[in-house]
Amino acid sequence: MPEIVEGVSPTRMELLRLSRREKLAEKGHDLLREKRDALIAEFLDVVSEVRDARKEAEDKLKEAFDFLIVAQALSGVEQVRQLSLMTSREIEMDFSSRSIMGVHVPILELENDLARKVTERGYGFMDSSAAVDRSARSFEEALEKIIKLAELEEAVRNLAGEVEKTKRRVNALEYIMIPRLKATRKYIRMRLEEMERENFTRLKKIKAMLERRER
Amino acid sequence: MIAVIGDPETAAGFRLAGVKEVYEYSDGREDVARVLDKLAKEEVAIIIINERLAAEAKNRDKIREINAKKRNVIPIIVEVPDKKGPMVKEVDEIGRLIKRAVGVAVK
Repeated sequence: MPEIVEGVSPTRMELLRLSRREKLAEKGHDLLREKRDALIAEFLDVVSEVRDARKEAEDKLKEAFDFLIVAQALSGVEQVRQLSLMTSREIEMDFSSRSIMGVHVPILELENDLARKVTERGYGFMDSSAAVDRSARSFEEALEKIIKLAELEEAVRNLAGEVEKTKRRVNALEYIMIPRLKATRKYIRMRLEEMERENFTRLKKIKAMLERRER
Repeated sequence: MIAVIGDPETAAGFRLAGVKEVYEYSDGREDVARVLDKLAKEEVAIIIINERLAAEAKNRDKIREINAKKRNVIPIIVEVPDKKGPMVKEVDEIGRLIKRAVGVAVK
């Protein structure tokens, strides 16, 4: 038996207020349940995407590391480092977010392709080699995939948080709030009935007393 | 803006790809947690960090803290493998999230 709401007086007014609250709680419960189901559906969609995206990014990155190691073997670690210091640039990114049932999910958009032409990288041809080009190229591609992955992983994290919160609210309403309101309503109804019965016997008694006195 | 925290190879690679903010760590000694804090304050959009660095207890805590604290969607911290390939993780982050959100593990 769930406990009753504290501090209620057994009156008809209170009974009316309680049944209004109970209706509201039930409506809220239904809405939240729908929200939860929609969020979970969305969440599972994104999850399957994120697994693929991670796999892709990791594969690409592995390839990039392989090329990098070849480049380092051919030109020397220090030389590759020197070259890498010359290739920095601004990475233009458009940052916005869309909302799935009130959850902010980031959208990252690159203004232009990350992959550059050999001439755009900013190092000289004399010091670099095909191997360096190849590894730079793969790292650019890997970076693109990682940015995509970042977007998806963040979406998963945010959605998971919201699903959990919504679930907790649904459960709180379903297992605590609504039963408690119901129990309180029942308690008040029984108290009112009890009072009515008391009153009834009291009236009977008084009536009998009055009749005796008249005689 | 994108920032990378990683070992020398990761650093060199992402520099080649054109990333400007690259922090190189040859060893676990340096204070990665402090760099993470600094980047979070600077409103870097994406922080790419090596899994091995992220897995160190102090850094792991810091990443959790940043994720819990942020109001906006940034910074997004992505963990990527280093040259040795993906780590076998003791806790699968995504798997854990699924379990908590849905109640059952979905493969």
